Amino acid sequence: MVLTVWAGVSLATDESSLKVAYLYNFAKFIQWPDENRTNLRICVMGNDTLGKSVNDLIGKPVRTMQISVREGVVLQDIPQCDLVFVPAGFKQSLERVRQVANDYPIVIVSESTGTLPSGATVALIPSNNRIVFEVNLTEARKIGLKISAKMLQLAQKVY
Amino acid sequence: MNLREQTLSVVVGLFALFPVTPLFAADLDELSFEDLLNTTITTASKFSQRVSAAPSSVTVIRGEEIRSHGWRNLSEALVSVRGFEISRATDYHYLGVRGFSQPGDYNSRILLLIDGIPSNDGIYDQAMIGPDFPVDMHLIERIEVVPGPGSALYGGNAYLAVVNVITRKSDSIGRSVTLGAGSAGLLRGQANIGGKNETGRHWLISASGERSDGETRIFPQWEGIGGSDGQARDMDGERLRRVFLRYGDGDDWSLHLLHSERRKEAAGALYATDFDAPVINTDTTTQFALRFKRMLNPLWTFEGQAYAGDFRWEGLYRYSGTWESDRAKSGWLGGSAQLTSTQWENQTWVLGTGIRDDFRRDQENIDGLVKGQRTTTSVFAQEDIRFNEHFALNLGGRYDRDTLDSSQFSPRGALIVNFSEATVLKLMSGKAFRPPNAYETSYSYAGAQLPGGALKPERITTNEIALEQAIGTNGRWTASAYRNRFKDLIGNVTDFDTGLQQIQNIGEASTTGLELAARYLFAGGLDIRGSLAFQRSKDAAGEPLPNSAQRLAKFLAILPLGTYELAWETYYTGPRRDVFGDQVGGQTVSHAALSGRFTRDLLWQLRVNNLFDQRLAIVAGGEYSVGEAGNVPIIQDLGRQFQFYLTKDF
Repeated sequence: MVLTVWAGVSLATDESSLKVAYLYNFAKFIQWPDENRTNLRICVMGNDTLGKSVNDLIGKPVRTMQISVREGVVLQDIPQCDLVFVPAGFKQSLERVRQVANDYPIVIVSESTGTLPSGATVALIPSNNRIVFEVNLTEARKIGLKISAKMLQLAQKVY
Repeated sequence: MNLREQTLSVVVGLFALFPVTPLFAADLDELSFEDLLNTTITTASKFSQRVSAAPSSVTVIRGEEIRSHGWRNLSEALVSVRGFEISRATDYHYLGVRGFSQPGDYNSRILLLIDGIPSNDGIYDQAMIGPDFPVDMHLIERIEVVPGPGSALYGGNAYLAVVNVITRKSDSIGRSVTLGAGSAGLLRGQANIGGKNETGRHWLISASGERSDGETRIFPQWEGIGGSDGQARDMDGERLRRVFLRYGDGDDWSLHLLHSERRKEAAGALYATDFDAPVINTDTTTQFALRFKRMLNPLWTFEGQAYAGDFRWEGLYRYSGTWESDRAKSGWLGGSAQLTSTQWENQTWVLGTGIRDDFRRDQENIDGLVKGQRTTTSVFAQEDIRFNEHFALNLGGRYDRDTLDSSQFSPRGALIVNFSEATVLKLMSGKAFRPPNAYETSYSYAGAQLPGGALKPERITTNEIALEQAIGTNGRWTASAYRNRFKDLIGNVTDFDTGLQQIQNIGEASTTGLELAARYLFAGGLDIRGSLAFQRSKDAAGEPLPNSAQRLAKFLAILPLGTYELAWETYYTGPRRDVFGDQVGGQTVSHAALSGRFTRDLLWQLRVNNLFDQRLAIVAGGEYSVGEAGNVPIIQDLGRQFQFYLTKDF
């Protein structure tokens, strides 16, 4: 991961690396109901969605678990994920993604702008050459996910 | 402009292909949420070429569809493509494209690529599209189907269509085990382990096996001959084994090794064998490929591939109680290198060269052993010129020369007019060729078939006009009109005096067609796709080509039902002629698949082929005819069949 620090004031990086860094932080600040296992499975829909930077996540620790990554997943693979990133260009609706994810504790990270009550758990939103995020806490609670107070505090909006 | 803005614009200008020299490279762990919220973006994500910009009428079949429908053979996926037909003979599956569907031609007019590597063997040039296709359908990310002449890029076999099967990334496949059972004693097992590490190295091991007893096949033309009731019992069994191994590093390079074996009993007294014994075909292939890609600088990319293949076939035939065998061995080595450049504004250049050495082309039967060899070298170039936001031109050509004294130039051109973001018009024209294969020039069988000898390559010229229109962001319709003109077609001719068969250049033919296709993805997840094809084909005498339906209609839907999913297919094939010129009526077949989950990691699927148990006719090649002409070689296709699968993910 190449993040460039400019005189200690602000950071700059390419879009994909920034999204990957967000995914890692979401994994750290969200708690799954079934964490007594070795792997935390992060999935990315579509191919080459996040470039090579997604490899940086592989093997990273999250509490007692290690992150494994599956890229190029399709709808049918979603139940095998703990966190799934749905890129903006994804044709199927987020409601459909949620439907396939059933009531399993799966964090759905979308890229839609501001319309969170749509099935996603977290939305990444471009804003002013930066990326901010929103959280759907109601949805998260329903499927047994716990989101830390810190993450909720930094979120642009909490539904 | 301050320092930061300057640096930013340079980075954007280079599309970040050169890594930015970091002043400080931070680790993921060191970045807090607060840092991320304050991080600015230097480059936007890249997008690959949209289908509408391609200089041909591409159909893409996605892996999701393959899994929703439960397709286990490539042919089941290909029949969903507009203008495509499949004839499931008892030995192999045959693909017809745009009104040209010669039963028994071993699909030599289709180039079949696996991850861009040619997989047709060196004797029959056979595209293995049925159960003999060496890669498991579960491993496919997408299939790119390009009808029309592809010789300008790919050379010899890319005559009617190019089918490129792109496999899924190893990490996307993950770990799973599938078990299945079905009608006709079908049993099937498959296991995959795929993964990737933090440096981008990826690996995949996949293996599968299948067996079935097959069905009792019905051959009306045999009824009453020699006391037969026209039913072939216990002569349709099949055994399959496949292995796929891959190792690589990101997109930089990858190695794959695949192996497949298929043993199929084929009923129907093929090649005038005994009706009460099957012909037994065993097809074995082992293929190895290395692919590499390197960005030389931001504007130049080098791609290379090296491959090797081995294909063996053995056929066992029973004549008047005595078994005979027929064998073929093919070995090949090949490679290609290509440079892609965007050095000049609004232009993309591709320059390439390739070689394929078919060093072994052995055919052996009671007539003895015939050996052969052929080396083909080629150079090709393609240019994309974007004049403005409305007009683009794609020009390409390839020169192929082989050691059997054939040299061919294949040009192709396309003018692409973007009326708007949503409407694209394409005018396309191209030529392709197919050199005679070793089977056509050299195979003989005492008392039945003479070697073809010196045959000219077949040629085809295609002109096509296509209009593509987006329907909102979730749909598209396409209309396409084309004309194919065939020259020096290679086909089987029977001598009236001697009764001997010989493969010859049989002359000209043409097809004119119109295709309409549409696809729409509804908000609730309902995915609908359909097409109509109207096609007229005729030979030099003005007679319709055999097995060429004048109308085709296709309808496919994937319907989410809560956590279940229903996938539906209906295909209509219009009236066509058999190989003797007699009319065969139109027919419709439907298949359905229902999927769901027992648990989060345990998926089930029920597929029913030929749901309404329709009586379907397959127009077969002359190899199924009964003695004298006049006995119509029609095979009755399979009736309703059930398949049930369980997939466990780990």
